[in-house]
Amino acid sequence: MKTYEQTAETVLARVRSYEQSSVRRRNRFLITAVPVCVVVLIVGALLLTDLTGITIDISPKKTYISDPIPVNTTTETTVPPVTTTTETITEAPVTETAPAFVYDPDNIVDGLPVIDPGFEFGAAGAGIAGFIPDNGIVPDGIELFPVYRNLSYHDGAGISVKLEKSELMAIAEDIAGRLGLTISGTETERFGDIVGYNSDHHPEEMLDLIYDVKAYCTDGTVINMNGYGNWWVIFNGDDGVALPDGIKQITDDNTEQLMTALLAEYSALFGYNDPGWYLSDRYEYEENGNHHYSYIFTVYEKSDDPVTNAVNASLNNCDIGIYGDDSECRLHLIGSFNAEGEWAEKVGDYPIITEEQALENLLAGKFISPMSQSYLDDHPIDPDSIVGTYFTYVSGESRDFYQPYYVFILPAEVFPDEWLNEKFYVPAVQEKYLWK
Amino acid sequence: MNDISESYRRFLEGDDSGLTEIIRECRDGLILYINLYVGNVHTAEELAEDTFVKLFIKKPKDKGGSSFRTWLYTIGRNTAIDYLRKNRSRNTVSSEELSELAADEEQLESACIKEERRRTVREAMKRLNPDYYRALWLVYFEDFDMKSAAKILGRTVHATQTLVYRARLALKEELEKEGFEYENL
Repeated sequence: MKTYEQTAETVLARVRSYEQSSVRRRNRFLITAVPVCVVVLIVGALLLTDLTGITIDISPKKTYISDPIPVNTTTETTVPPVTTTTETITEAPVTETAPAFVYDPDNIVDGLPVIDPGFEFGAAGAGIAGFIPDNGIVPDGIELFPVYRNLSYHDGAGISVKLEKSELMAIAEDIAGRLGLTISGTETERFGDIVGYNSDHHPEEMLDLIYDVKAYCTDGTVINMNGYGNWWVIFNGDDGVALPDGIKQITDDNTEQLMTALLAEYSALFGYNDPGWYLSDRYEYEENGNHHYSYIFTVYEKSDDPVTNAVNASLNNCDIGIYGDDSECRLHLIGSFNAEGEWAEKVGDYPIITEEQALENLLAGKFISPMSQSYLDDHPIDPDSIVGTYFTYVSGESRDFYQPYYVFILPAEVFPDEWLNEKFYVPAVQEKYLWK
Repeated sequence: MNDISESYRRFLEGDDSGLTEIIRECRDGLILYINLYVGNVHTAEELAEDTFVKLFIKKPKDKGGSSFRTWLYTIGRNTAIDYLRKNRSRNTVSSEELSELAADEEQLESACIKEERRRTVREAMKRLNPDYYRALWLVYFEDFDMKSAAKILGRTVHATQTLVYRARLALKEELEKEGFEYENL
């Protein structure tokens, strides 16, 4: 390896080289392009004014908003609880990078475009599964599930800015209105201050856009918005607010009562006609002899159609965050982190495999996990060690497609020498439709 | 204003020794952090160099505090992820190169982590989920506060707090397997 002095020498040489070439490029531009452009603009302006009488005006600043296509598949699918009505301009977001998978609508198998099974390094298979969510999605007997294409793909190196400050403020006002609160002040954060300076993904003109907005309400509630469209409400700073009905600790016996009360209290915020819910995550840890608890409940619009129900439960929902310790658990957060659904379009309804076939695929190594194949060759998965399975859509800004998976949970002890990854994702879409 | 900010200010004023000082202070930690993504310390060294070049070309305005290091690590992470995307089918390395990689990594770690106990912790962290490892590295080895770590990782502060809590729990289990007393950390 180089010494730090050698590294500094190389870096300095590259920086100076760039600066010199930049000066040369600028000089060439000034000598050649600028005079030509000036002449063209003057002639064009004169002609336009003479021939049409039109006065040349400065165009308004464009926003980076693509045409939103909701995830909705049927009329029963819910409308996201918070929406904006601002005029949109159909234009690819400038933060968008090329998808990892080259989507080819002409690559058709049995009438459906071939899709990417969804591997993204460090994303899909990197979850710890201490808790197995009972999301109520049962694919038994359902042959087709919709798949959506992410129209706003970017990798982990980018952030998409879809909404501008005025739209973020409008959503914050809407949320405050639904909660009966008054906004007393706002705080914004520049895109450039969040992402740093990365010219590969974020052109200079992006850096002054507003990405984060915090709206402070008079009662201490903070409404957070980001330029991608996610929003979340933090109640009473780090303290949260007391749970309804005097509930201090969450148990199997009072969960139904708690959720009924919370859904009633915040019904205006959610906007659901027939809300469903499930406990999507739960964990606890001990610190200095005190137990800390964290519960995430996911709420969504229920539907009699099982496919719509699955889509809403997985992709079109809100989260309720309740945290606390042995003394008391309190409501800290309600938010919607599924904005990507608004920047997606349906590709088609795809035939899926059964759970038994998914298990066969798992044992045949056809799953998504960061475990190395060579390791798995030596340590085959024991089907008897599987501790849980569930069916879910997986979304995220860095995924090409939002599609269903069977998730198999294996205890960490199966792989004592490797990472503690326990979730194994098997694509539910039949293999012939998956890109290889 | 911290030392790095002072060095950066001098670099912006034309004093190249400021750049050298920054690289002396930040290079090894940045390489180890990027290595958490790419898993090859030689590649990580090249990407760290690219990261410094990007930063010194852009010359962002430093607001003091930890913002400079936050930028550095954010760009380092982005650079690492770019590399992974462009090199999905990872190159295989020979057994000789593997030995050299391991030796260089160990040397770098020894230079960065003086305390034996912290090295033990890092060894245990290597067995964790990579997301956990990266979050713990930023918070406990690079001393980033939660907000800065969240910016670098591209997550919300709350999500980062949750990640770190879970990572600590997983680390505790790992350390307890070795008879290490976690509470004494």
